[in-house]
Amino acid sequence: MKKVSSLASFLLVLITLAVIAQSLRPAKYQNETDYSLLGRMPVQADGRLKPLDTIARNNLVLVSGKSTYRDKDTDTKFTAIEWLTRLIFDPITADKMKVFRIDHPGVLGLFDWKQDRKYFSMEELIPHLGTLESQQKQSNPEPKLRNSFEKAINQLYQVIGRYRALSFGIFDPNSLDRIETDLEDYLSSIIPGLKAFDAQKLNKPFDSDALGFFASYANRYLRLSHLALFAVVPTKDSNDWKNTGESLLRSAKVLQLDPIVLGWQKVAISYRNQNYAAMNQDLLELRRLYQKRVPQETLSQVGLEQRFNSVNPFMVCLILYLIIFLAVLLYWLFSKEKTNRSFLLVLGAVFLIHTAGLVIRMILSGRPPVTNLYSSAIFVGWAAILLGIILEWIFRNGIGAATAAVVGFLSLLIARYLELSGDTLEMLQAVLDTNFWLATHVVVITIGYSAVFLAGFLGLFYVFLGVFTRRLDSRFRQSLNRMVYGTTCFGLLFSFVGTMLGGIWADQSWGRFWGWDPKENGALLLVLWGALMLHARWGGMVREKGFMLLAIGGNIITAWSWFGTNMLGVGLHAYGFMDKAFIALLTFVLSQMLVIGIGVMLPRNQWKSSKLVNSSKAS
Amino acid sequence: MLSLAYRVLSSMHLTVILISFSILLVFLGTLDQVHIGIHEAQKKYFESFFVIWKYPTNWSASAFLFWLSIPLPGGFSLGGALVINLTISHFRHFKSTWKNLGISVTHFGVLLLLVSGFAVSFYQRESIMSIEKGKSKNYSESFYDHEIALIDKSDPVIDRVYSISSGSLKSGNVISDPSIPISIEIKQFHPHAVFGSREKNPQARIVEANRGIGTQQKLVFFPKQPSYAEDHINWPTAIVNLWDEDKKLGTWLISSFLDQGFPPQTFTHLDKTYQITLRSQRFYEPYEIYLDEVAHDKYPGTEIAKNFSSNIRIENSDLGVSRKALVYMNHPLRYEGLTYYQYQMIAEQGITRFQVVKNPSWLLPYFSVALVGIGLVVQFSSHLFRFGRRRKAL
Repeated sequence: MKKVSSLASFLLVLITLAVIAQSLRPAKYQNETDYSLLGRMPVQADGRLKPLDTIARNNLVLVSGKSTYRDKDTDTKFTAIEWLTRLIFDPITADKMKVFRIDHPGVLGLFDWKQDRKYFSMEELIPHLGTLESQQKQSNPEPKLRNSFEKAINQLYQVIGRYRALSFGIFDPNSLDRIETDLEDYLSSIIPGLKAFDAQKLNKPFDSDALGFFASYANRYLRLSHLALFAVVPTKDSNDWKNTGESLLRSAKVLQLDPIVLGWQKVAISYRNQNYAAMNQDLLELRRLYQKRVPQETLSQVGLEQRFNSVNPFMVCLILYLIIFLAVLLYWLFSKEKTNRSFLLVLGAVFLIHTAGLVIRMILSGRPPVTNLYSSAIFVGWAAILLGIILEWIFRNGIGAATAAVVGFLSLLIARYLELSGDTLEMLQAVLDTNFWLATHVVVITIGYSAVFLAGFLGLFYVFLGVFTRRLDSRFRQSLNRMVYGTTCFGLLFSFVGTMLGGIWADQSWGRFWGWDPKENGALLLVLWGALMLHARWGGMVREKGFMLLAIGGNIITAWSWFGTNMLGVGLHAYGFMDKAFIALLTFVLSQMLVIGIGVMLPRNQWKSSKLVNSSKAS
Repeated sequence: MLSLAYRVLSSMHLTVILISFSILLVFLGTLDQVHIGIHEAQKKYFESFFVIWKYPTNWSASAFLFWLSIPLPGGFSLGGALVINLTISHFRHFKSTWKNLGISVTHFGVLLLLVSGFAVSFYQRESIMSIEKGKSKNYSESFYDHEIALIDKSDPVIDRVYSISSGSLKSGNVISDPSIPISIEIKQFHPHAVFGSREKNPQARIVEANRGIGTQQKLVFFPKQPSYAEDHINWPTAIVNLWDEDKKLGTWLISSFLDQGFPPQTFTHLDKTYQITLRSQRFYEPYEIYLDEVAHDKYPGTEIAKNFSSNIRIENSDLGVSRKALVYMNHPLRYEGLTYYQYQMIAEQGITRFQVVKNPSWLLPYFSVALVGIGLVVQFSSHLFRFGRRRKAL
């Protein structure tokens, strides 16, 4: 028996290592191009410097809902940076890639498309753009009041606009076929063009061809400067990079092209000629140009973000948490032994990866760990794992590990969905721009969420193990009872302190400690629920089972204060009510109520676990 | 009988029942904020003794559930009951032992928090001060309340303002006082009205005014239900008769809508020039605040606001004080019992708006929070300690 157990532990550790190794393996690209070098190129967008790779990922996710693209016909996989490179340097080919995810039946029907696939290419969409635009104009101007069809239309309209703007990322896509000479032609048009311009102003005879030639360039670059979503040309002011359009317009004054623009031109030419060896040389040269003009520290931070993107540590954790959870379940089913140290070991290892991911995000943003909904999901998982490790350390029976793994898995899953909305390292609105309160109030209240969730999931284990298995013996029950009690106390402490720190922040920022705002009320509910649980227990109003069911109720309250309150502003108005997130929340709430209902309605002697006790007593 | 009341009021069952009701109240109050706005929901649910929640008509299944309404004790009732429950139970259950120290401190903190909640709802005043760059203000304006102001403008330097606050603004009210030279009879009062032109609304009722703007037959108004939804502005409107003893001076149409951008309605009576208006209630301070500079910083290359800041100067001639101050996000100015917070800004027009808060009890929550926090830490660590000892013993 002992052998089986150590073999199982060995297997678990092996699988864990395999998953980690897989994630650290460098990505495979379609040709010999060094895309990781390309992905590390620094650009400025949305108020911060980031690698081109982040632009590629965020936008591919916005367009297609995924961070990679698989061509079904040739069965080849493209990374986001490969897709973006193609879109920027060879848009005509890129337009054939089926990256647009459209699943609203109304929108598909509008274009006479069947509902047999979800992904479409720009080429397929082009004939329908007029229809789309007219539908977009008909939709309710008030976004909150749009129905699901109007929402889908507007979303697609925006996504197409973004895709178009992306194709103007570095060069004008309409001039790419003459990119080899285009910039030099422009440069040589400047002096005669400006001469003609001055002459025209003074009503003297002027060379209209030269003026027209120059003006056509200026117009194109003006358009390029307006459309570009990111800036690639560093300036002396590190806060104010220029996009290629702006840089080219400036060239008319200084009469020379910026070396970085020329560097990107070389990359584009090599890419279009499919000369990938030359392209790698161009990229190295471009890199050296950036090294001259951008501080090394900035470049290594940008590089770190690109590596962080490609390893994707939270995805690794997501998979491993699921594996740990299943391993514990299997162990409980097949082993009679009470304790196993390998869970703690593996959970600890995965926790280290989770922590590393969290710390890197903090370095990249220069902020405390929680700044938006996405990072709160990452952090809820992290804190739950930490608490679970402490529980597992004390009790060593797998319960702490399994519960923490479930909460960690689910919160990272939620984070994956929240990632779909764009850059997760976005800049903060003015009122949130205070690291002190983000580090105290937000972090503490989020730990409170973790603790209440952990207690709730321990309660779920209690009901599941009790009703469906014979595992819930008196020893297990006792540990669960203590774990839930301890976690609830901890949760109440953190929810209270966190909520009240929020009150103090509000007093500092708005002059009122408490404003009955939905998010504040949500936090208050969490505190009240904790107080209710403890008083009901101390006053003898609930016993072990009742306390467990109340803990499950805590899941509902936490889900409400975490997500429900955010939906109020947009969600509860007549139409937008049935958002996907709202349905998910409702499903979760109903599932928790169902479990509580089972716990209340089904008497203890009907539980499988207590039948064992009865029958053993009878014998 | 007395002992039964004592037992009930001090019981932990009552605590749990009160907390359950509080949870329900906070949840339903939050839901209703979507329909009636935060301010109204606060008054209806949390600063009341009793409230009935009704199933919203615009929710799905309202055709079947329209009858569903839940009566609940309001925030004042629950808060008061919790104060009583908490106080009495301490006399009954708790002996002052070290073991109970954590709980006692926690409960005292909660008590203080509840008391500060009551103090806030009675003493806190929030208003807004809007200043243009290079100019100054010595008053702030209420968010929700209005006043009828009769302003004696005969002194070229100082205006004498007689104001009638929102509580007295009701149809049929007559405000006459020996200290006011003219008495005001409110013939009609509408909490909200919208204005239009006679041209587009030929059927509209004629405005019964014979003085001021109301006599211009181009203008008509329509009384509406007031709303407290976000982004909605109510325009209280009234028709008033002004009297000097038994002599009627005339009938005016006044409205907070007309107070914004329309020429002031002035008239002369006994060689004095007066102005009559209905406007947001003003709170005057004995000092002036000048706005020297505003700044709206954005993140590079975006429209996302990074910071709003206002350079101001306080000139208090009574105290001979003149000082500069910088007000920006999360960094208010506290002066003479008032706190000025950066609230809104129209940087292009050089206009800044401060939220001005008067809250004499602002320190109470800080104390109570510290007490509860310390109490919980003490209590739970003693639990943990005992648990650790028992485990060792096993």
